[in-house]
Amino acid sequence: VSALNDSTASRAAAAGGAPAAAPIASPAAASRGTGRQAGAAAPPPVALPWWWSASLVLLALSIAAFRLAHTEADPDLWGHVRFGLDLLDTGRVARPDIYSYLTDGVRWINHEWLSELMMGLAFRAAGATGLIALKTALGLIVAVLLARHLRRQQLTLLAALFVTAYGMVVLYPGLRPLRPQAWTYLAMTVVLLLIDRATRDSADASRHARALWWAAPIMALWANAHGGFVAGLGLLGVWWASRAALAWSDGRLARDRQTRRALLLDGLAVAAAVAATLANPYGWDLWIFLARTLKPRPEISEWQALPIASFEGATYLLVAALGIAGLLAQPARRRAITGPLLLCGVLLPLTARRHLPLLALIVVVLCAGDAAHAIGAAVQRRWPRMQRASSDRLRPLVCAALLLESIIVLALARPEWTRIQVDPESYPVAAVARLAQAREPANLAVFFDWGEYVLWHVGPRIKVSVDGRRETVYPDDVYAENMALTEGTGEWDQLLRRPETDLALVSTQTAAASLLALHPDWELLLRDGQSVLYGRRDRSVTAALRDPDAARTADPPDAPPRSPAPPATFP
Amino acid sequence: VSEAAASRTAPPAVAGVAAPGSLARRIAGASIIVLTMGVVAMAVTPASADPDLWGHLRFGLDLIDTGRVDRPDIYSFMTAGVPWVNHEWLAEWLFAVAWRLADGTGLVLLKLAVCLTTFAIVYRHLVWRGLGLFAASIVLLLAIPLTLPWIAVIRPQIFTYLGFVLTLAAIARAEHGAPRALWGLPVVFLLWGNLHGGVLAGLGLLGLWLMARTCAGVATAVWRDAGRWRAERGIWTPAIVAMLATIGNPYAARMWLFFKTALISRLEISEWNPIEVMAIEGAAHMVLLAPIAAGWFWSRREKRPALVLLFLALVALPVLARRNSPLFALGLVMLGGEHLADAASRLLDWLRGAGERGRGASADGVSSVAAYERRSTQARGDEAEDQRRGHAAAATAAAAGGAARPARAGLTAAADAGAFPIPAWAAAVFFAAGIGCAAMALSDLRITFSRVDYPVEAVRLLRASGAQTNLAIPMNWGEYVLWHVGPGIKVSMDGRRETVYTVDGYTEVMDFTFGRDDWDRLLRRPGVDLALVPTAEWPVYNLLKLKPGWTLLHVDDRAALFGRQGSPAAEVIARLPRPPKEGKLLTFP
Repeated sequence: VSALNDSTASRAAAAGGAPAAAPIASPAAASRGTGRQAGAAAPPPVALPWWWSASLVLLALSIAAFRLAHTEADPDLWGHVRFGLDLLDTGRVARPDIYSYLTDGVRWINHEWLSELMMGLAFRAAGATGLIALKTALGLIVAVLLARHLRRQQLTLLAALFVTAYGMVVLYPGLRPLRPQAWTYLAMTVVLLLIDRATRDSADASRHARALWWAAPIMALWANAHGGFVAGLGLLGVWWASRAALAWSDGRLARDRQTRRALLLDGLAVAAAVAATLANPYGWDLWIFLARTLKPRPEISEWQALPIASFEGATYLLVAALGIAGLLAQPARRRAITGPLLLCGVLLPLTARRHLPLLALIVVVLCAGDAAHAIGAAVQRRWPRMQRASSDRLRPLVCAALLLESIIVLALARPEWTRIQVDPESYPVAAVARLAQAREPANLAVFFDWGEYVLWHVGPRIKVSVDGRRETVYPDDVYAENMALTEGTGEWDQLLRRPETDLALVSTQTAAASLLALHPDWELLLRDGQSVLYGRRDRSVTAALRDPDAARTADPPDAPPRSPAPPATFP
Repeated sequence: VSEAAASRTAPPAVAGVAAPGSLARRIAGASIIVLTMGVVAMAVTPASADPDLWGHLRFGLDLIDTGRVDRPDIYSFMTAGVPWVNHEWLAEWLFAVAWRLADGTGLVLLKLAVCLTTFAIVYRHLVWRGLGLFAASIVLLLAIPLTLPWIAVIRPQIFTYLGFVLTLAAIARAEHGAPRALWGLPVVFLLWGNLHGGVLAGLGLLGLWLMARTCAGVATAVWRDAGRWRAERGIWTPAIVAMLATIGNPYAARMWLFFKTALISRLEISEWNPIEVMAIEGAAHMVLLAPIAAGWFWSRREKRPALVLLFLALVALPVLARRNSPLFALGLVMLGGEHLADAASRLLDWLRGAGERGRGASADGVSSVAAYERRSTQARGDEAEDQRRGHAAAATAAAAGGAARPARAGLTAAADAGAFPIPAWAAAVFFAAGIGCAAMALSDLRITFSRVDYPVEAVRLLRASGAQTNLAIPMNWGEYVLWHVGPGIKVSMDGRRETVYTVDGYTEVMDFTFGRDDWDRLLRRPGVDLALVPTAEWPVYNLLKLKPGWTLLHVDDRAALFGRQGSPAAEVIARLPRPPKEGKLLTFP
């Protein structure tokens, strides 16, 4: 945080000068002429007292904490916490699955075990508050790293905070729920910072980028926390290839021994990062698993291509435009390395919309500083007489207001620290409450999205047909059976025809609900606004779950949905 | 092109090459045009049936028979009391006239004529913008791969493609000093407004262009300059008349109220979805966009801000809906063709420099790169001079109320000077190839459709039954069915969608198709005794198999026909022999 105070500006200000500033490039940069075009018309530096900067930072942190503390439950959250707790209890990462009746003999590659362990620890320590604190901490670390990085590029504190906020706004949808992706955002930020440092270090092609060796331990942790480490490795590879191409194109590779040596050492650092990902409980098998499963998943909305003609698409275009602006403002040699990385970032959301935060991180770390300098210089050229509007006399007053605002924001955030919101309209709350009444074990064909919600509440006594772990533990044919049931196409009842399936819980919005209503072998046990629960007629569990007061309590099949239930909280 | 530039860029005379201005040169030029149009004809002639073609033709024939555009619908049991806004009545009337004259051949020839005219206008525009015939041909052919999937089917959209290029050509002419071209637009928009709803794209194009000009005019205080102010009014008047001309239709302003439905998202229809950028179709768009965008960057030709804005709008079209891809392709070629050609000429210059370097042309100690830079600088100077002359000519012509020929450069210069090396034998080959292509195109004028897309055997069974009842059916097959067995058998829904069906009715059919919510509400309607559904892609087939009171009358690998137990229609169909399986490719209708 110390890097966030205006010490640079203060030191420059100590040299004297009237208060006036370029709008974005910091005075220190301008006075040194590093602000590129700002050079000739460098404005005099501004003296900013430390308490002014501190109050700004405090307000920014409280707003960030307020927003990040707001947490919504993702369908996978129940599973992540459950598997994390199981890991704590058993002390074993590689263990057989006990929650599904269709995973016998299948090895479960839990590639997110480390993040689940952290979630388990946080939950055991402080329940939902622990999980919220974990997620908020991850988000805040990312924000602080970004702001610190931008400050090091000589942006003013306000500009750095503004650009960071912009990046965090794009990142925020990915940080609203607590998911292992949060670790990818943090690790990706660190790797990008290393890449940026390495790019600057190796501007002289003959220098080896020592910072890159830090990538190995980061990748070792990342590979155990989330599968997104593949993106990090990809970026490191692209960085090295771009650097090699640059050295080759300007002839240094052929004529300069030092350049060859530096390139070799950089390559070794990248190779070490790749090798470090093997430090996981599954070794090579993790790679084999990823190679097998990294394929399009159009049935999952976040894996669909980002639609350009939407609000999300407009955000994407704005972020990409900022990246391109920054790229154009960079020196040619750096641009030759940053350009391919930015291109990767721009293409990623077009393969799957969940990659938009990665583009935001790439742009903020690699390009936004340059874009901000260029915009600042352009503004300075267009409106050279623009002056800072604030007055020194008012500053203590404004500072006090900022502090007060920070306290208010933190106070407002208090309720957010104790609850993870669950949308009762999205989960089969009533049906799972009924399932909890069953005393005997049973197997449940369930809608994919609800698998982990069910296994948290009634597993492993009631085993599910599928859950969010998908290909990490379910064979392809089992997954296809579950999808056919949901969509109601082809051999839709293949899963129901399995003798081990006792119950079925599907969404009212799917064709499966209509089909089950017509199926003679299945009996309606419960229907609410979101779900329908059916039992096979000849099973004892069906009798156990049959509501004796069904006529009074269950809605008739053609009843309109009930009014929305009050908000629920995790778990 | 300036004489000096022409003499510099012209390669040395080649034996057998026509001299500029000679008859032989004209023949050589004609041979390129014939070859180009022959290739275009060969590409656009193959015709396939779209699910709506049966309906378009049926409604057009009804229009001829009744003489009434505004008439009640007789083909669906869900349209009682709903007014039908048939915004494509003129296209359907043209289809029906062509059909009455020569059946499917008439339809294909009509499509060929419209598409050839569209491409000819683009070609003419490129040549007018200073491209040589050969370069214009190459640029034109770039647009074909993306337009081909859309012009292969006979739909009213073909008229939108024509209207779109006419509008763009008129706008480009007005931008380059020939505003009189805009006076053709009122007629274009009057017809277009009755041919297809794509007139909205034309209005959008015109509106965007006017907005850009207004911004530029406000920024430069155009009203202070009497001459420019007069010229600006000369642009606004025909543009506004053109916009108002769209009210000239049988429904008058009601059509405008209807058009607001065109702005509603229709994501359940694949062609209304955005293109998938990271897929083959995305790559195909990039193949066209990348060189043309690079052309805009590297071209030395003038880039008028209003046209840059239109270019960017065109780029956005396929990401709004993939059915806009032909507009994207044609528009990009029209607006970016000249820049692509100019950038390509610079690239050729550079490659020539590289060649000289390879042959040791810089033996005198001067690097060939430096020589290239010097040539480029010189060329830029010449180009600037050309542009200056061009603008002066444009201004003069505009003052005289006529169109100005733009300055020519790069690839275009060589062609313009008649120096492109086309010997007589090559011209003869071009002629022969062009005529050969045209002959191939005209050798098969059938409209085909694939059996796997339609319930061919099931509809044959329905026709044989002579049933008079109501049929529940997904939207895609509605018009195929109403052509073959309507209005005796009335359908639940067809491709006319919001032009005649209510939102509730549409939802009812979608719920039926996707098995959602109260999916069998449609089946509970009185008089619905039959249901024809696909066996594979939607759950309705599985639902009907389980539905009590309904029996499977016919099933094949594409469709299943169900009947209400005890209904006369079901009983008749159940007694009929099964129809034989058809071949894979069938001929319309």
